[in-house]
Formats: sequence, C-alpha cells, structure tokens
Amino acid sequence: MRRKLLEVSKLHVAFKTLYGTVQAVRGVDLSIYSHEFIGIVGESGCGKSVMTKAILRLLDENNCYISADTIRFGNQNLLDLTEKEMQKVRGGKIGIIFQDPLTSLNPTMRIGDQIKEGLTLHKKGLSSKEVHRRVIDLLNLVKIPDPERAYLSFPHELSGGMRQRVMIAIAIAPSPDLIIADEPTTALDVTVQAQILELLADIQEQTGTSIILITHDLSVVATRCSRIYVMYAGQIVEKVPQKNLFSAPAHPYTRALIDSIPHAGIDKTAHLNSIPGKPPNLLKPPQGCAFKKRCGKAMRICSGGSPPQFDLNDESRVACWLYDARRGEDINE
Amino acid sequence: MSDTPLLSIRKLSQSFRVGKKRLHALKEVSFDLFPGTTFGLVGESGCGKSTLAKTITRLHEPTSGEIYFDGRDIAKLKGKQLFEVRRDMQMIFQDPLASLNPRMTAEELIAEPLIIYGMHDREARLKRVHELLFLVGLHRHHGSYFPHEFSGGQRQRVCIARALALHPKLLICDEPLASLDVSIQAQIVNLLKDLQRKMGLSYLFISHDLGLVRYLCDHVAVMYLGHIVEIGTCEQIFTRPRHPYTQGLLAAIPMVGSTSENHKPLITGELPSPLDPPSGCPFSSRCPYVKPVCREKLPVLCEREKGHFSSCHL
Repeated sequence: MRRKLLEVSKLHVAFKTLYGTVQAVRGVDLSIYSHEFIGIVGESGCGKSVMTKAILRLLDENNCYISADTIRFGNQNLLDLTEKEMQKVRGGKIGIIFQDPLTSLNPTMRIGDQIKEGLTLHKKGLSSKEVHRRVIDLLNLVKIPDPERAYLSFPHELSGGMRQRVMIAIAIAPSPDLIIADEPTTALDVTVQAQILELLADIQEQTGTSIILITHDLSVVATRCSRIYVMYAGQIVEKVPQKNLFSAPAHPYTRALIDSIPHAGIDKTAHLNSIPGKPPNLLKPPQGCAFKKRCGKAMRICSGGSPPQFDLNDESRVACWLYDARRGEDINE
Repeated sequence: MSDTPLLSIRKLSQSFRVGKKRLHALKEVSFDLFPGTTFGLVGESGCGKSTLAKTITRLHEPTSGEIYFDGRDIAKLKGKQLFEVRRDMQMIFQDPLASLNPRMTAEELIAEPLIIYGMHDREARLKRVHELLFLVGLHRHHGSYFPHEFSGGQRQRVCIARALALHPKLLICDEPLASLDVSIQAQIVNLLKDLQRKMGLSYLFISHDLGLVRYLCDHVAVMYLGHIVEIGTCEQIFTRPRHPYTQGLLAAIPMVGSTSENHKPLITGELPSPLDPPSGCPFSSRCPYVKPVCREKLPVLCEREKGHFSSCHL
C-alpha cells in the first residue's frame, strides 16, 4: 500500500498589489506518494512556483492570502505549524532546489560548509568528523569529481552544472522525504540538463525520497516523471500518467501545448499549431474556464461555470466540460 | 533556391584578449547561406554562436577571414560603406525587453531605422510603420504602446517589425524564441515562416532548441568551442549525425514520446573553458569514443556525403 506523503487540497493564494488582487493559485488539489517522481508543468505565470512556496510557507504572509482545506505532509497539517516547527520541515523533511544555483548559494562560503549547514541543523548529534565524512559521501553521490577539493571551493569556481549538483547535495543532506525541484535545469545547457535529470532519477532510486519536478518544458517531465500535473492560470487542468501524456492528453490545453512543439518528422512546410492569444490576466480571472478564449473546442457552457474535475480513471483527472457525461447539446442548456 | 550564396563566410576567426591569454571564440569558420533559406547554428552556450552573429554584422572586428555578403567582402569595410551594407542585414535578439528602448513607443521604435537611413517623409514613414505592425500581426493602435505594455510575444513582434523596416535581405535571429513560452513560441515561429515565404527573406537562426532548428532550418552547422564540427542539410544532421558531439547533443534532448530507458546521456562533463581548450580535437575531453590521435591532432572537416561535412578522426 502506497503512503500519501503530501496532500494539498483547495489551495488558494492571492497577492495584494497596487492594481488589485492577483489570484495566483486558484484551488489546487495535489498529492504525492512516497517514493514517487512527479512533474508539474505550466507556462510562466501559471502559479507553479507560487504554489510550492505556499506549501513551504515561504511567502510573506503580510501581503498575500493563503487558504487551503489542508496541506497535509505525513501526519502534520503544515498550515497549523508554528514558524519554528516549519523550520524543521523546510530543509529537514522537504528539500528544495531552485532554478539558478548561483543565486541560491552563498558566494562567500565554501561548498563543504554550505552542505554541512543543513546537516548540523537538521541532524543533531553528529561529530564533526562524521559530518565531514557525510559531506564527502554526498559530493560523491552527486558525482562531483575530486570531492575533497570541491569541499574547499567557492561557488564561483564551479561550473553551472557542478553548482546545481551542489544544490542537490544540500537538498538531500538531511535525508528529506520530499525534494521539490523548481526548474532545476532551466539555466543549463541540454547536455548538462540530461546529466542532472539522470542524477535526480538516480538519487530518487537510491535514497527512496519523493521528487516533485517543476518545469515549463514538457519534454523534461516526459522522460522521468511517473505522473504529471498540468497547470494553467493558477489551476491544475489535468493529471495524467506519463504513458498517456503524449499519446492521449485529455485537456485541450495539454493537447495544444504538445502540438506546438515541433516533433521529428513534422511536415516542414506546414504551420506549427500555435495557441492563439495569451494566458488570462489573473487580476481579473475570467468567468468559467480560464482556457476558453484560446480553446478550439470551447462550448457555451465553458463561459458559464468553472469546469469541475472529471475523473477519467484512477490515474487521470481533467478539468474540462468536454468530459461531462451529459455530452453534446443538453450540457449547454 | 539560387546557386550563389547570399552570405559566404570563409575561414573566419575571432579572438579576444583576456588578461595575458587569447580567447579564440571562432576558429576558421566557413559556411554558405543561400537566399530564401534558413541556416541554423546550434551548440551549447559559450560555443561562439553569438560571437559569429556579431562578427558577421561587424559589431565585432574579425581577427581574420572573409565575409562575403551579396558577393562582396565586407570583413574590412568601414564607415559609409559598412553603414550601407548593414541596411541589408538586421538582427533580432533573445530578450526583446532588453533590446527595445523603454522610453520609446512601438511606432517610434519601428520608425527609427527609417529615420537613420533618411527614408520617407513623416507621413510616409507612419504609413510604413502601420504596414509593418500589420505585417507582424499587431494592430495600428499598438503603435502608441510602450514596450512594457506588450506581452513577451508582442514585444518580439515589435523587434521583428523594426528589423524588417528597411527591407533587409538577411535577418540574423539570435535565440529569438528562448525567452518565450512554448505556446507563444509557435506563434513567432509561424510568423517567421510566413515572412520568409512572403518576402523571400534569408535567416541565420541561432538556437539551442534542436527541435525548432529541425523544423525551421534548411542547413545546419553544429558548433563546439568556436569550431564548426559538423555541417550539412537539416535532414543529414538530424537523421545521420556523424560527429559524436552532434550525436550526443541529439541524445540529450528529451524528444517528445521518448521514455527514460533510451535516455542515458552520452556526453559527460561540461564545456571546457575556451581559454584553455583541450589539445587536438576540441571535443576530445568529453567524447565517449576518444582515441589517442584525438588528443594530438585537430581533425579537419571532411565530406562524408554530398554537402555533409564533419570533423572527426573516426
């Protein structure tokens, strides 16, 4: 029996701005089991990063509203924790890897010391000798050559890929149950991206931690993640197992995204299928489905009410009126 | 397709002084670009793609080599002659927000090249600007917008309109899609294709996105540490890659529909510092098939099939 590690239900995040309230995340349901590698895909501004920051309670609660039925992690509701208890979760139970390793690492601290920080904070009672050995082991695990030398280097002395490996080492140091990787390969070249994805998959297998990979690049989640959530305008529009992502995407948005990537063997004289228009402004989220204005299959009902989540089977769920059992005419009545 | 190339680069080298060392950004690069076609340049960051673009437009002085544009060597042109040549070659950059003056409206931005080249009077200029806005899929009323009022895709359209204002023959696109979301990327790709068809434009298309290059380009050159390591038609490069670097690059892209099993990265390590390149073949430090000869001798580009060259000892 698989254990639910993290369960988020009906998460809303809104920010106060000069121009009004931006509804960045609008009712997200999400769950991840232990030993799982899942992906969240969406374009910029769809709320994927805000969502993870809200889960980790990293947002400044003075200028934003967060509400959720529950953010259950293990047997705790993260919403009920005090800041002090939250600090034990962050880094200790949930590790995080950001897009740009150079801005996430402290430029004035040696690599080894930065990895050590997490260990001494979250794993109390280790002797300094043990800590040193653990750091070297971690550097080995993330395949950094010559770990003794890397231990003493500063971030600027390492290449982009090596820095991201250091970030991964920091994230896994306190052996967290969950790692959230927010666009971990976006700043890297494709050849290095492939290496880092491979490393994440290896680590997931070796340590048994769960990983949430957040990216804008469909092809990145396609190879490693077992399940994929697709986000649009602050909502999850589709939950789909990897095997169906490209062969049978259910939501028109997912379909359109896939079609707008040129694939091998495409007719070069034909137009790419682009998605017309642009994502809606979340200062004033549209009535009904957020995608309706760009959707080729929009019906009358799409302007009426937000589409509910339809379960297609155990693994797939989609928020689109096309999947309402009352198909065709009567749905629009 | 005509037989005389629009742009013909011969043994173009570019090096910069960095402290006491010399950084060789381009090493004897040669290729031809034919009118009405798209030539793709691919490679990892730091391989010299953008330096090549800037050297062709003479934003950098080439260290040596020739750049034939429309049959004429422009590598050493100066002053007025260079000014005239540049009218026919325009650039689009990666970040549209950074390449548009935030204090000018779209109309002013697009009219600027016309003013610089002293074309049309005020009224005719405005008419031309409106034509150009329409051409790139914007509306007349967008003319009074400032760059920050546009979305990313629209900004890139303004950049394209500005680049087209002078009826150039060659458009150099340096990662024009890298800062855009997938759904917007496809819109701009389609626009570039339409414009090429309508106006017979030639593109030099620089990108790290091999999927897009495959879709857009007729010829492709793969660059590594300032060298062209493989060059050929798009089909040759993508279906029969000969150089281990090209093969590794293709294997590194998660292709739509592939699964993790066939997904072991072929290339290990990262791009070496161009200040301190490996001896012999530039790729020898990361090549999975490296042999002793690779570390000693620089391989030359050899023709493997008609029009398909690669530089590898194997």
